[in-house]
Amino acid sequence: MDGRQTDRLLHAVATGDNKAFEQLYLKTKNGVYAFLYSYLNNAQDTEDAMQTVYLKVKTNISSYKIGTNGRAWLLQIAKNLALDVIKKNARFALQIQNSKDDLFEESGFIKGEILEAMQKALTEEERRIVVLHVLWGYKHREIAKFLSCPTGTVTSKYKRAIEKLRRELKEDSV
Amino acid sequence: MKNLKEKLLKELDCVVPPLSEDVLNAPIIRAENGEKEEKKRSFTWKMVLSCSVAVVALCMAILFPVFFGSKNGVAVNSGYALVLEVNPKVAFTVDDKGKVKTVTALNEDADVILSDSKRLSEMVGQTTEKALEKFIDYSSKLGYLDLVNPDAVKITLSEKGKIADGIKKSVENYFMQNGIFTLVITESKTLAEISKNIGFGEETNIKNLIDKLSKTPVLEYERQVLGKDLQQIQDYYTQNVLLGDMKNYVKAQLSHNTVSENQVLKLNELNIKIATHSDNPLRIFEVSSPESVYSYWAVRALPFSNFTEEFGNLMAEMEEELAIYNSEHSQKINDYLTLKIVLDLQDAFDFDFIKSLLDNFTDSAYLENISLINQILNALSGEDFKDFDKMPENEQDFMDKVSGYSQSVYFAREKENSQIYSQQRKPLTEGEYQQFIDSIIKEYGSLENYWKNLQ
Repeated sequence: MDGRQTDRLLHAVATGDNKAFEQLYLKTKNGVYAFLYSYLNNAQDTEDAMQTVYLKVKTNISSYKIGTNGRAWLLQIAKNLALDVIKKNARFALQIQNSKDDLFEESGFIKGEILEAMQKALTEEERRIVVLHVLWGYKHREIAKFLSCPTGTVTSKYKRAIEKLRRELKEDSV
Repeated sequence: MKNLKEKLLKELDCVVPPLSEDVLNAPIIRAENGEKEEKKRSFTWKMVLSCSVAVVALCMAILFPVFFGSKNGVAVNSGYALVLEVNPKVAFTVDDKGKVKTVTALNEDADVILSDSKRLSEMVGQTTEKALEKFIDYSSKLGYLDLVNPDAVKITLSEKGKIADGIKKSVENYFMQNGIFTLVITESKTLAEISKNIGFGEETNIKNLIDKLSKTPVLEYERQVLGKDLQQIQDYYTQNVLLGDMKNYVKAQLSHNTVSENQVLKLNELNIKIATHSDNPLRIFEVSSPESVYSYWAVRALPFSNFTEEFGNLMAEMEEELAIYNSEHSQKINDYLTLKIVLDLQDAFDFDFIKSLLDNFTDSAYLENISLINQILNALSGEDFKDFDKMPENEQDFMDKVSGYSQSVYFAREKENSQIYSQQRKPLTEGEYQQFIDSIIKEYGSLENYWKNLQ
C-alpha cells in the first residue's frame, strides 16, 4: 500500500466520500489485519478490532491532518486499539483463569501456510516488523521510529525473522 | 521478498472479513460537523467575544488600506506567482494574504524534494519567506546547493517593489545566517509570462492560476503521463525514468555496495585474527565460547587497552579500517552482529558479475539485468525502491513507482551530503556578504552573467 495513495484516499474520506472509504478499506485491510494480529494473536479479537479501526477512521477523520502521513495515522489507531484490547483481555483472563484454563487455546489461529509459519516461528515483534516491511512497505528506519527501537535492531530482527520463516517453510523462495 | 508478499496477501484475502454493514453505513464525521456541535455547546461568552473580535477586525479591514499602502482604497496585492531555481526548480503561488497556496515541481530534482507529502505540507500554508527557506534548506540538505563554493539561486516573480525586495532580503538573510556564499538573483515578469513558462498557458488572473495548479499533480513526472494510454506510459517510463536519472542512481548505488565487498572481507579477516590471537586478553582463561565473545568489539569494551605491541597493532588496524568503511557506507558496522549480517548479504550475490556489469553499463546491459539489479538493491538497502524492473500497469502504478524512486533518491542524497550539511558555519556579516556580491560582479560583469555561467 503506497503512502501517497493512502494520503489521497484519506483526503477524500475527510471530504465525506464514502466510496473513497470503501477503497481505503480494500487497499489497507490486509495490512491492518496482519498488523492487529501481530498484537492480538487471535482471529476473533482481530476481526472485532478491524471493524472498530475502520469505524474510528470514519468518526475521527477530522483528526487526520491533510498532507501528513496517512499510513502512520491509520496504524496508530490500530496500535492503540490493539493495546486496549490486550489490557481488557488481561483483566478478563485473570477473572476466569481458575475456571477455564483452555479458553484461548488454539481458538483463534488463522489458516494459511505463511500465516501459520509466522505464528509458529516468529516472536510477536518479529511478526510486526515483517508485516510493516513486507505488507506496508515501511523502511527499516521508519519501523524503528514507529516501534521506538534502533534501526540496527529492526534490520537484524527482520533478517532473523526471514531466516526463521525460510527454515519453517523449508524453501528458499521467501 | 516479492514472493512472500504475494503469498501473504493471497492468504490474507481468504482470512480478512468484509466490513460490517454498520461500519459501511456509518456516517463520516467531518470537521465541519464537529465545529457545528462545538458552536451549539459554547454559545455564551465565547460568542460575545468572537462578535467583538469580528467587529474590531471589520474596522481594521476597512481602515488598514487607508493607512498602510493602498492606492485609492484598493488592496495593493491580490496574490502572485514565483519560480525558484536552485537546481531543483519549483513554482509557488501565493494568495492575497501572503500565504503559499500551491507548490509545483518543475523538474526531476524538485520531484525528489516534493515526493513526500510531509515535506510538501511544510510549505503550503506558510508565508512565502518561510516556504522558500524550507525549500532551499532541503536543497542544501540534499547537496543541490553548493555549501562549500560560491553558488546562486534565482527567483522570478510576478511582483515588483516591496514584496519582491522583502523576499530577496529574507532569502539573503537565510544564506548569511547559515554562512553560505550563495547569491540571490531576482527577476520580475508578468503573471502571464510566468504562467506560460511553467506550462500553464498565459494566465493573467492569479486566482485562476492557483485553481489550475491546485488541481494538477505536484510532481513533474506525474504530470508527464496525464491523459496518456498504457503504452505511452510504459514508453515514457522506459525512456525517461529507467534510462533517465534512475540509471545513474542505480549505477551509483551498485558501485557503492560493490566497492564495500573487499572492505568487509578485510574487516572479517582482521576480526578473526583478533578473536583467535593468543594475546587477546579475553582468551586468558581459554574457555570455549563463540567467536563473538573474543571479537574486536568485545576487546574494545574492556576498561583497559595496554595490549602487547602485536595485538595492539591489530586493534589499531581494525579501528582504522572500520572508520574508513563507516565513513563511506550508510550501513555502519558498529558491532559483531552487523558485520555478520553484511557478510551474509554479500555472500548471497555474485559481485564479480556486478563488477563486470558496472564496467560496461550500457542501456542494453542495464535493461537486460534489471531484475537482478532490483533484487540486489532491495537486499542490500532494505529500502522501498523495489520492483522498478517491472513495467507500470496503469497510471497509478506509474505514479507509485516514480514517487518511490524519488523518495529513495532523497534518502540516498541526504545520507551522502549529511556531513557537509551538518557542519557548523560562521554566520556572514552584511559586509562580508556584500563583499562577496561585489567580487562576483567584478569578475563576471553582472549577477545575471554569473547566473548564466552557472547554467
